[in-house]
Formats: sequence, C-alpha cells, structure tokens
Amino acid sequence: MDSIFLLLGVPSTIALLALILPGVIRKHSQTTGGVALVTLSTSGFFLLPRVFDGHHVFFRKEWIPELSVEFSFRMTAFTAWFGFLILFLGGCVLLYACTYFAKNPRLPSLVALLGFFTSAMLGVVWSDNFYLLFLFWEATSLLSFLLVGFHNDLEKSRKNASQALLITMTGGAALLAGFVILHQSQGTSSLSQILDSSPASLPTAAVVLIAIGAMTKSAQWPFHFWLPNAMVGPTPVSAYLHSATMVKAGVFLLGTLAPVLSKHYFWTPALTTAGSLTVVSSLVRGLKADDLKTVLACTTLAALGFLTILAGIGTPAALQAFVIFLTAHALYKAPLFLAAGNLEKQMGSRRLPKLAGALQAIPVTSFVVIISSLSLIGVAPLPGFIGKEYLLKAAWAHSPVFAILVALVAAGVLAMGFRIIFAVSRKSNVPSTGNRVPLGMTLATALPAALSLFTVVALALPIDFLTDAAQSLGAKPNTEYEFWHGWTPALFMSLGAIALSLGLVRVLPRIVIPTSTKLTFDAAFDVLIAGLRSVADSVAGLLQNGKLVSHLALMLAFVGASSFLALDVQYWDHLEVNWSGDSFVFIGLTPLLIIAAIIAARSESTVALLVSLGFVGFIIALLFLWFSAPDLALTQLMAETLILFLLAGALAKVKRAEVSEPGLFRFVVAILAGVLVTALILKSMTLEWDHPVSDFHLRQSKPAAFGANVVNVILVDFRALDTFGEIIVLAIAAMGANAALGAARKRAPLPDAEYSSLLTTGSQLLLYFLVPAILWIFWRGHNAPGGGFIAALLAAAGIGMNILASRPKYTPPFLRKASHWCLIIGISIATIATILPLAAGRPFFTGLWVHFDSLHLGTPLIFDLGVFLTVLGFCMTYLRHFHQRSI
Amino acid sequence: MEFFVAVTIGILVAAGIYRLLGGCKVDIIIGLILLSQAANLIILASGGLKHNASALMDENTDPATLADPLPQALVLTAIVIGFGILAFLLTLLIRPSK
Repeated sequence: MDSIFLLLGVPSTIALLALILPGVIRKHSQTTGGVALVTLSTSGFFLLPRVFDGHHVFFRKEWIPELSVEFSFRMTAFTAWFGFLILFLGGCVLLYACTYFAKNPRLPSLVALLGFFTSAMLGVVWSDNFYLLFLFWEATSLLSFLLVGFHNDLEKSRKNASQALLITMTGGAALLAGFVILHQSQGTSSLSQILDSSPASLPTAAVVLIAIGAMTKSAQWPFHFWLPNAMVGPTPVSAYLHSATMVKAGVFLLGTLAPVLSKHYFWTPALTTAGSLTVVSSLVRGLKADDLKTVLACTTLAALGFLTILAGIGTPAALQAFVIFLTAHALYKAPLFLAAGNLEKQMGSRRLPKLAGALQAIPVTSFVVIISSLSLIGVAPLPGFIGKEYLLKAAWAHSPVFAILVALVAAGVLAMGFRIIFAVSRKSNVPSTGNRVPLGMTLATALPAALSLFTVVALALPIDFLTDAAQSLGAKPNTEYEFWHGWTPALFMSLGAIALSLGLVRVLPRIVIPTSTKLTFDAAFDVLIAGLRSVADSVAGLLQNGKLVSHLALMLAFVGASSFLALDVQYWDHLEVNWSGDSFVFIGLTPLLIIAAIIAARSESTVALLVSLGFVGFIIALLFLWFSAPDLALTQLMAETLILFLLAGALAKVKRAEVSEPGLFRFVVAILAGVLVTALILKSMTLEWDHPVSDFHLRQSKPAAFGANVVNVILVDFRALDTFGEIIVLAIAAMGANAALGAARKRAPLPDAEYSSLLTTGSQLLLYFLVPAILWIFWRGHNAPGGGFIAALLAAAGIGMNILASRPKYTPPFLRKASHWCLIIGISIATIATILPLAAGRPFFTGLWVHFDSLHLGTPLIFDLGVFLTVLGFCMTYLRHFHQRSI
Repeated sequence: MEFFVAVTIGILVAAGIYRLLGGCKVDIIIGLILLSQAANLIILASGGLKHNASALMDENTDPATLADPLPQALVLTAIVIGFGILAFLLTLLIRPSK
C-alpha cells in the first residue's frame, strides 16, 4: 500500500492516546497541544511533495465486493493540498483547544473527538469509493454533532447540535441514495472512474440527490440556518468546522464532481441560485449582527455560497478559482475564529462595539485579525484577493449580468470584513478588563495567518504552486495563478465592490433590516420537527396505547393477516378430510384435549391450571409416540413434569392481583387464529416435497456415526454444533436465574406446608431405582430411544421430587454446589469432546471412534455426557430457586 | 388422521392466544406454554406423519419407510429450549420488582 495514506491514521492515533491516557492530557495539556501541532503539521508536510507532483496515487483493497464497497483511496495534487490544510489547521486547533480548555476535565474527550474528526475529514477527501466516502461523510456529521454539542449542559447547545445533525444526516441519506443511483446507472462506484469516463447522460435523480447532500453539509440555502446556530460549539471547534472541515466537505464534493455533473441541465442553475441565495441570506443576518462569531459565521456562509456558485458554473476557469478561493478562505477563517476566542478572553466580550482598543491590548491577535480580514475583503496581494479576482472572472465568463450580481452581493460580504477591521482598530481609553491570552492560543491563531502570507510568497515565485492542484480538479492545464490580469472587468467589479462596501458600512447603522426574516427558516424547521413528532406520537398512540394486550393483538393481527394471504384460497383441490388410517385414536384424544385446552385457557385457579396443562402435555406426548417419535414423547413427558414443578413453585409465590377478564374480542381473535392455523396446516400437509437432508441422515446414521437412533445421532453428531449452542444457552439461562433470584429466595419464602414422611421416604427410594434407569437410558440413546437430554430430564424430575419432599440431604448449599458443578463440568466435557478431533488433526466436531467388535465408543458419547450434565445442572438451578424453602 | 392433528393444533393455538390476550403476566406465560406445544406439533407435522415408523435404522431398512428424523431432532431441541425460556420467564415473574 502506498504509505502516504497511513497519514489518515495519525489524528486517530492521537485521539486513541487521549482516550487511553486522559490523566496525562489533563496534567500536561499545553504540552499535549504542542505535540499534537507538531505531529499533525509534520504529517501535513509529508503531503506537500504530492501537491507538486502531478501523479495520482491510488490504494485499493476489496471490502464487500458484492456491493462494490471498496477500501480505496485516491490522492491528487488537490486532495493532497486539502489534506495538508486539514492536518495543519487541525494541529493549530488542537493546540488552541488544549490551551483554551487547559483546566477543563473533559479536555481528553475534546482532543479525542477532534482527532477522530480530522481523520474522518481526511477520509472524505481521499476516498475513491462512493460508499467509503459516505461512511467518512457520516462520521464527520456525527462527530461534529458531538463537537458542537460539547457544552452538553446547555439546552441551547444540545438543541442546535441536534438541528445540525438532523439536517446533515438527512442530506447524508440523500447523498447515499444519489450515490446508489449513480452507481447503478454508470456501473462503477469509483469516483475516479466516473471522473475519467465522464459519462454523457446522467440520471437526474442522482444529480439532484447528490447536490442536496452536499448542500446540506455546506449549509446552502435553504439549509443554511444550521451553520450560524452551530456557533454554540466551543471556539476551536467553530474555527475548525468553518475553515477546513465539515462545511468544506460539501463544497469539496461539489467541486470534485463538477466537471462531470455540470453537464446535467439541473446542476448549474440550481447551484448558482442556491449559492447566491445563501450569500444574500448571510447578508440579512450578518450585516446587522453585533456578535463577532455570528458575523464570522455569516461570512463563512457567504464564502460557501461563492464556492457553490463556482462549482455550479463548473468550467475550468471556475474550478481554478475554486481551489484558490477555498485555500484562501480556510487560511483566513481559521485565524479569525481563533482570534475571536482570544479577543473574548482579553476584552471580556466578543460584541463588536466592545472590541475598541483591542489593537493596544492584544496587538498580535489584532494584527492577525486585520490581516485575515483584509484577505477576506480581497486586498492585494493576499490569497483572498486572487480568489475574488478569479471568482469574478469565472462569473463574468459565465454571464456578465450574473457577475455583476455576484459583485453586488460580494460588496455586502466585504462590508462585514470592514466592520471587523474597524471594530478592532478603533481606539479606546478604557483599559481592557479580561485575562491575558496564553501564548499557545496566540501561536495557534497566528500560524494559519502566517501560512496565508507564505502562500502569497509561494504564488509569487515561479514554482507552479497550486497549479497542479487546480489542474487535478479540472482546471485548464498549466495555468498559473497571476496577481495582475490587466484592466479586466473583474478588477473593475472588484474595485467597485470595495467602494460600495465602504459606503455600506457608513450607512449601515441607519438601515433597518426586519429582524423577523432571519428567523423564518429556524421557525419553519421547528414547526417541521414538531409536526413530525406529533405525527409520530399519534401513530404510536394509535398502535401502542401502553396496554400489553393491544400490543400483542396488533402483532397477532399482522401475522394473521399475512398468513391469511399465504392461504391462497384459490387452490383447495387436494384438501380432503382423510378419515383413513387409525383415526379412532383421535376420536378419543381430541375431545379430551379440547376440554383440557379450554380449562387451561379459562381457569383462574392454580390447581386447575396445573392439572389441565399437565393433561395437554401428556396428550401431546401420546401424539408424539403415535407418530413414530418415541424420543420426543419421552422428552415431552419429562419436560412437562418439570414445567409443572416450576410452575407450581412460581405460582405459589405470585400474588394474583389482576384477574384476567373474559372478553368477546379475545374470544373472537383466538377462534380466528385457531381456524386460520388449522387451515394452514391442512393446506401444508397436502404438499409433498423432497427431503434430501433427512435421507442423508437416515442413510449415513449407521455407517458413519454407528448409531441406529437417527434422532439422537443428529443431535450429538450430525448437528452437534446446534446442540452445543443450545446447552450454552441453557447454561446462560441458569446464570440469569442465579443473578435475578440470588437474593430473592430469602425474601419470598414458599408457604409452609406439612410434609408427609411417606413422600420423603418414597422419593428417596424412587431415586435409588432411578439411577440405574437413568444410566440405562443414557447408554442406549445412540441406538434406541433415550440419550443425554432425556436421561437428564429424568434425573432432574427425580431430584425435583426429592426437593418437593424436602429431604434433609438437599440443603441449599448442596444444591447450589451440585448445580454449579454440573453446569461447569457439563460444558467443559462437551467442549473437550468437540475439540478432541482437532488434536487428532481432524476438523472441529468430527466424531472419533474406537471399535471393540460390535461396541462403538466415540466422542459423540462424551458430548452426550456433557449435554446430560449441563441440562441436569440447568434443571437443578431452577428447581432450587423455585422450590427451596428459605433458611 | 392429518385432519385431527390440524384441529388439535388449531385448538392449542386458539387456547394459547386466548390466554395470551388475558392481560396479566401469568396469562402470558401460560399462553406461551400452549403456543409452544402447538409449534412443536407443527414442526413435527411438517415432516409428514407416519405411524409405527420410528427413525431407527437397521442394515436392511428402506429409509423412505421411516419417519423424518430431522423435524424430530428440531422439536427435541425446541422442547428443551422452550423449557429453558419458560423457566427464565418464571424467574422474571417471581423476581421482586425493586
């Protein structure tokens, strides 16, 4: 693999370390920040050679080939440069966060979140597979939710974070749908292949959905309102979300796909409109805002709007503007946000009127603010200037009228920049009241601004800086960025916009912007969410009224309706009542069963219940016997006995406060269900099908597994893995009873009763007779009805009898120990039986056999012993809990 | 005789569902017992019902004449697991709700 992609893991490693060693982070917070900055920016510098290298680097590894999900990455000059920005600004933000939250006990989790977020963002930029990109995309949404909601004790913080999450996740779903449609129509899920093949026709749905996905992420109109609200997040988080990550993911995708998707008729009009409206709505809110962070958030909105316009135009010239505009914005927006935090700390407020005197009080930060704001305004030779010139140039080439409109709204954005500069540079005689800003924060603020200046130098040098990056995105080859284009329309518009914005700042205090408009979208969102919630509530209220009966009835109705459809009433040909065979058995049994079932269904008295249930179980055991299933009959008899034991013990402890009420509804549902099931079974019995698996088991039972009783052979040999799983479940259920009832036994004693000495002696005698019978049943299991399950249930029934008779030997400690050891030894023996074949070099669960003439001994027998002990231990656990008297 | 088995199962289902809709906890447990008895019979019936044809193989038995052993193995497991589930449900029933 190309080792450059390992850089993706660097921020995550920092995050993991922060989670493993939170104490170290808290103690040495500043050092952590420094280390993070050095690590991340060093990683970033490894990427710089790629920026100058025209080659695309790929890494591919299959992940889920059936779904075309690949673990594939791609690096072009542009994504390398973007990756550098992410890592470098991530380092600055981490340093800032570690200084800003030095005393906060939750600093380690913030560091971890920022680290993972950086990795996720790198993943978005570098993924080549749609679905991998989507996964990273959703990861950024989720992590930004946690980051924005970092102050989770504040109601507003939680509300705004979940608003951002809802909007970006909805967009994520749209994006996924778009990717799937694009994948289906183009036959590839690789981003680079789509870009290379440059298909002529695209499905409209894919284009629309992908655009919506990217627009929600980048907070484009009409989804723009979440971004200013996300300002509730901590300052370093805002700085990072707004500069190089999160919102940039959306425009990144738009820019990357623009060369292909801009051929579709929907793309350019939709994106240029949405982008322009975003800029306008940012002006409505930002021009009058007093809060520095809000103003900055609105300039971010505007910048994203411009980037969307460029991606929407999608021409090579627009994409060249896109790269420099995105770079410039990342490099001036991060320091501005970080500086806002510094100013707040030093000046005690971040409202623009309160920032007077900042230049004297906090010179470095204020200088950074002024430089960055000048870049925002687009003053030569800062990167923002080049970005704006190229933007206007591309817009002019697209349509001169549109370019003039862009210049007009840009004037508004520039006015916001001027407002910041004027606010900071105004003199004040009142000394500042706040605290001193630590060095780490100042450094973190100044570094991106320094890189901004460095970019200017690099662009001025003849080294083709960013040319490859722009070209890899789709700009014309070998077009360098130039500062001077001559007296072009773009320059005039730019100068005009600056003049206009200066005028605007002058008259701004006198303009009244209706305040209600800025809240419209927020309010609409709230109404939408409240509406969804009330619909959900009413549906839930309709379906789930809190009564168990109606929940059950609803589920039954659904199952019943779907099985009624399966009846397929048209085909009833073969249905006939078959009176042949030995029906006389049933003529006696069926009425008995009906009576027993009705009593079981209606009875409220415990004794009647127990008797009727026992009767039902007994008749079913007879049916099993009749239908050639002797093993089942034995198991059923034993299990039924034990069920009654347990039920008797449990019902004796339960006070029946609630008496079930008879109702017509209940009756009708029950009758309908009975009739439906009867019809379904009659229908299913008319079918004949092959059973190759059963035939195989029957044929191979004797030669391969040396057992005549095929049912037992299936349980301990052919399908022993299932049985193994089953005894594990039983062991877990036994542990569950111990956990739930360990203490309850003392609180809810069984009612006292007289014990007959006859029963006590008799049950002891019974056990003596049972032991040989149990051994015999266990031993014959492989060749005749019997086996581990039945033997264990029989043994348990005998023990249950003795517990009922309250034999003195069966003390609670004895039973507890006995049941524990049975479970432990049983599971161990079964496990040993399954892994013994491994020692002999055979596959897991293969039977190993020793033959003495006609006697065959093998691991399935050992396994059956494990089953026996586990089932016995399980039964004893429950008997102990349900029947033991407290001591 | 298939008809009688089908009716038997139908009755068990009806009784089980009637009990299940009773509304108290004991009702649910008893309803589930009845329903699981019905389910076991359904599985057995799905393999075809044969009288006097236990799945015990000799050297010279024709497999086609024997009852299907696979549903029997499944039901055997189902009975024991059903017993386990019931035992655990009873645990929850008598557990003091504190």
